[in-house]
Amino acid sequence: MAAVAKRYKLALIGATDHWREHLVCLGAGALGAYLALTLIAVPALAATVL
Amino acid sequence: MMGRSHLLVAGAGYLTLAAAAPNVLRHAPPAQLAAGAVCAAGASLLPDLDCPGSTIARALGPLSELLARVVSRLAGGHRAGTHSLLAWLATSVALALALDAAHGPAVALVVCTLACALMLDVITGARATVCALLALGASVALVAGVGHADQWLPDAVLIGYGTHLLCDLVTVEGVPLLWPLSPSATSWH
Repeated sequence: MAAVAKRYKLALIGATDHWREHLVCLGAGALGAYLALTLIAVPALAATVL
Repeated sequence: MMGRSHLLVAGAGYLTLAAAAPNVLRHAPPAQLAAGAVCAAGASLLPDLDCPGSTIARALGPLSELLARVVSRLAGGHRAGTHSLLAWLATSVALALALDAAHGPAVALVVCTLACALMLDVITGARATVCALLALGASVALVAGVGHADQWLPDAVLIGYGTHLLCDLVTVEGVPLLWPLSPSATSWH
């Protein structure tokens, strides 16, 4: 019983970490893309056009 | 954490700092920010040089694998010496000093090539030789085109390395921040 509980707990921790990492990736990617647009792409484009 | 997560967090972290506290990055222009974000992302994989099977150890073929084995031996294995505050500060200070020296542009070129090769490897999964050649071209453009590498490159490496430690800090295993004073790992999981 203890072994099953331990395995379940490990699987749960693994799944939590797995999804946490996906969320971190998604959040960082979205934030990075937004900041790259506002801090780099838009000013560079404005400097070229204007 | 996986290499992809470290890359994204470091790039986003660098740009967040540029947006939230522009004084810290000396109000860097867009070109320097772009170069800095790329190099911060690549530098975020530096601490994993203590693991012979990691992305950075495979980035430059046998050369980086040999280097990884040496670093792993010196640092005491994976998530030991290279994941400490001491290694973080030592790497950042050593790079800043090397960039200030006479051979600064050559150092900048090597660091940028490694960072770009790592990014390409993680994103595209292409062969190491292809990534290294493309990275060399991109690095020449970054170092020669953007210029002032001695200003933005140390910041980028400092931030990239730091975000790696922060990301590993929230995992179950944690990192030995105070190595070699205290080899036990700290975890914020």
